[in-house]
Amino acid sequence: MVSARRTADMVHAVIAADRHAYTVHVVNRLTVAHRITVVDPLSDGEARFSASESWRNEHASLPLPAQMMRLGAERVAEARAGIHYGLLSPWPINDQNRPKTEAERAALSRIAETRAPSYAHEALGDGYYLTAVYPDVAVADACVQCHNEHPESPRTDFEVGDVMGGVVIRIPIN
Amino acid sequence: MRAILIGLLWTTVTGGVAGYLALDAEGEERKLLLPGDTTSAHYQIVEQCELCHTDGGGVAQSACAACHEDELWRMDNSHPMAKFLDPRNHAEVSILDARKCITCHTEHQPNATSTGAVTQPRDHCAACHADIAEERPSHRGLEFASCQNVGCHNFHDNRATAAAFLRAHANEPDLLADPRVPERTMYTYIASSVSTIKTMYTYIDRTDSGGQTMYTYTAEGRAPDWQGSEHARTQWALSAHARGGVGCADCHQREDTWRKNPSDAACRDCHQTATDGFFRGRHGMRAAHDLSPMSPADARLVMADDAPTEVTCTSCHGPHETSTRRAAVAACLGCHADDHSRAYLDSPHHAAWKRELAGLAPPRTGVSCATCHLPRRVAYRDGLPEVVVTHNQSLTMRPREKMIRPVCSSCHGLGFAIDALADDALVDRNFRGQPERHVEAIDMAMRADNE
Repeated sequence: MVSARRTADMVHAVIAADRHAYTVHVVNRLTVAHRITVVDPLSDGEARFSASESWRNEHASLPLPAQMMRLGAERVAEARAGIHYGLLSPWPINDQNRPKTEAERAALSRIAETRAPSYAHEALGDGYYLTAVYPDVAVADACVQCHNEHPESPRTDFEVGDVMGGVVIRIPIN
Repeated sequence: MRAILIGLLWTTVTGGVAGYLALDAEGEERKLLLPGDTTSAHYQIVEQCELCHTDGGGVAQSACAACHEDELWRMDNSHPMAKFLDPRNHAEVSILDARKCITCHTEHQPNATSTGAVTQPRDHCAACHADIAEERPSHRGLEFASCQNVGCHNFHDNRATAAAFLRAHANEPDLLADPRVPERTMYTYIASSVSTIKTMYTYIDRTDSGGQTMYTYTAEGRAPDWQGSEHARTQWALSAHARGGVGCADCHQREDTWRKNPSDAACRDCHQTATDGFFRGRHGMRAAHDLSPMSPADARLVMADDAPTEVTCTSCHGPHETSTRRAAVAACLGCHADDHSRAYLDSPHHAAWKRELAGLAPPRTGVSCATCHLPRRVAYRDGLPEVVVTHNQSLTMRPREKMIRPVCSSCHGLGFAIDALADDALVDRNFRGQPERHVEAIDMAMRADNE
């Protein structure tokens, strides 16, 4: 029997690997390394591939890596897979991603100092969960630049290497 | 206690019998068994209870998704179901269970239904956003009942009212420097899909002789005994179909059967994107569900007395004419006779349309009914981006602010578009005049930037 904590660690490994692969091998490859351009039907010119917050409404636009992760999380939730995950921060661009439960608040505060995962048990509604929170570190200039310059961002002094928030994974337990 | 049990028994038995009868009845008979009038969206398909209801009489979420999921995705739904499946939001879900569409869109309750087929009170945003004034000081003092006023917020579609978008378009003039819609590029994808043309007539040549225009055809393919009228052939010869090599049999012949009146399915062979859009909107939703085509006589909007009897592809486009000019204005006004529609001919939009048709203004600067209600958008087919005409007019109809980004913003500044759409009288006059009210959405977004 695999423990809930071990399960959360494994799920986090998959999420982190997919996010890294998408960032490096899709976004960076298309937008930076190869600078791919495509026909822009609205201007009769060319549009350069980019990753953008409003990608759904823009031609040649890719979801940002954080949005890609959320898209996956939504699919998992809709599949009623049982586990839930997301990206939270004390300084979110969208207020909905601010810590909400006591366990989330305590964990985000703790991991900013320890830079290590935090685990807690939570009762939410009719369910019981192991809530695991993993530090989300700014690994590239693009991360801090976007957050520091975004008009909705409540914090504008991030530096590469800072803990910007946490990946929260909930595993249902009996 | 006994009374409660008897009540429950009565409800169960009568409900079960009613449900059984409803599913067992056919067509018009079913309408008599409705528990209450259906909304202006679903009344067209009310004979087909099974489209929404399960055998037990409930409503499956998958039934809502089957028709609306794609639309919600495109509008970047601000409240996706997944958000409410997350256990961290259980407290909000216990107040407003937004995991199911029917929590806010309960059918057959005409007295409790407001704009957008919403059956929640106007102030339902308070269920989750009670502390919004603390998060956003710019919202202090506002009533929750005003959250979803035109130009402010919408539960699903906030593409035009997201703070970042408001700020990015804060200082635009009422009329943009180059007001025009994008050019259609649909012909390239149509051509790529026409691989099995069954051309019966090929238009060879056109000559003018003694004031008469003569066409030369060559007959090919099947059904050679069918000639059609000279009028039909002449219309066809002038059409884009003739130019594209699409002949009589391509539309009239289906699986070796010659049809005098081709169905919408024949159009779909080549115009798939347009036809599928038509089927998703209120013009084509009956046909999409194997019901008789929508009839203007059954519409709940004000219709002209002499409107056609049904709405199909050829009601607007004409069976042989393939110029879209009639479909862009005259076809609409042939049915729609409400204040907004009747005011179009005296509107500045129509004046711009006439100028373009007269060659007095650049292409794509005129504004027909279709320009706004069947807007052009980028679609993808076989990997190619195309600017196509959206044939689902319901996509941007209500609430009105759904038009701002995909429609108004081609020509107008954001602030003007928001104010104009919020002015009911101006909408009724088809935008003849200036907005007489101001929505503070952009002002609030700019103030928030400085807070």
